[in-house]
Amino acid sequence: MKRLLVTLSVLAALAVATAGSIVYAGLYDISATAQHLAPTYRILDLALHQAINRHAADIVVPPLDDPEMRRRGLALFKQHCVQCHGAPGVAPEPFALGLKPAAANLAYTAREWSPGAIFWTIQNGIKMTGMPAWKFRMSESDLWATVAFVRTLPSLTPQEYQAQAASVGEHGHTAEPATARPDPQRGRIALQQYACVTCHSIPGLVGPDTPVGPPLDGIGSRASIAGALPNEPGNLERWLRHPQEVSPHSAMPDLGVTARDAADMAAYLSTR
Amino acid sequence: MKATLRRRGPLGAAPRVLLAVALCGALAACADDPPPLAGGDAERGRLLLRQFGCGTCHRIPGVAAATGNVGPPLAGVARRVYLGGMLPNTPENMARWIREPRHFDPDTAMPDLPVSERHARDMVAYLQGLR
Repeated sequence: MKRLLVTLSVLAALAVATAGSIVYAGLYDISATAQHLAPTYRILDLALHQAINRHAADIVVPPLDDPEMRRRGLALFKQHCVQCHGAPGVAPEPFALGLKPAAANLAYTAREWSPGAIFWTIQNGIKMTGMPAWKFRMSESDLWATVAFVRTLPSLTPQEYQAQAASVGEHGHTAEPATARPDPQRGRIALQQYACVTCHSIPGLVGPDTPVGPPLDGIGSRASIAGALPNEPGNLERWLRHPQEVSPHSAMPDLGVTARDAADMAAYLSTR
Repeated sequence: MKATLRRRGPLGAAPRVLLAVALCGALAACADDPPPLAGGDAERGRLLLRQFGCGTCHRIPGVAAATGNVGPPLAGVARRVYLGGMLPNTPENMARWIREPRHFDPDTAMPDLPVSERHARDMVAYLQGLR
């Protein structure tokens, strides 16, 4: 018995050491040209479907058959989806063909997935794929409009798609209304969703160690923002929304932060 | 310049050392240190940072009483890409920024202090060691 345990422990230690060596020596192929091993792919795909179904289970689906809603959805689809997913008779953009995994053909997705699952996936995105979360870019009503259009994809011939797509223009975004009270936890997610961690280390957020700008720990009690603005209520939001208005030569870009998102981010940062 | 991606972060020093021992042949390239800086005296720079009161606004590792939180903390400043949010972080630019920040950003809260060129070089020698 004891011998068995010792053997198992040694084997486990060897396995960990081997895995560690492979990772550290750079032997794991992270390139987008290398496909997954078939079992790896199946497990990841299963995890994806199970997780989406679980999260989508309680979503209440509104009526999706209003033609005007579908037209709005088509406008959004043209602006944000077709580039990677393509459409009936329309190829994805060249860059999107290099994605691993390649973006799904939504005509199939629309036939097989529940509306709630499609909604949840558009809203939240899928980690480690090219699918972004649209939660901070689209209102719920826009998300549902997109779902309403995507649902019609399997029934459209390429000619019908082309004709419909040619008849809709750009769709302006409907911004989420600002909430009365800023929500720091939502702000924490917003800080990830505006990719702040690619330049700043932020307490409570996991991200790369790539200090392009200064770290934000202690920003709540820091006397000045960006070395220029006194850290008074409202100023952090102002800086987050329009940095180059405050400091014209700043390397920090205007990220199109909405008023609500800026208030929530500031609420989170002020506690750090 | 070696084209090695430096990765710092979740792996602390201990597992790095263990793995490096296990794979020492293949991983000898990981032991690169930051290059020494020409011209400045880092130890003098550390004292000068204290003398000029930099610590009243900045937290600076290794500098006595440098616990200010008016401007950003300077831990890891050598690895930062921009100074003052706008100036590419080279030793030369850092020395110029220290001497006349308002030349680059008229609105900055950081004052122009009477720092000589040599003093600035020494400060830079110390700050560029904060990686």
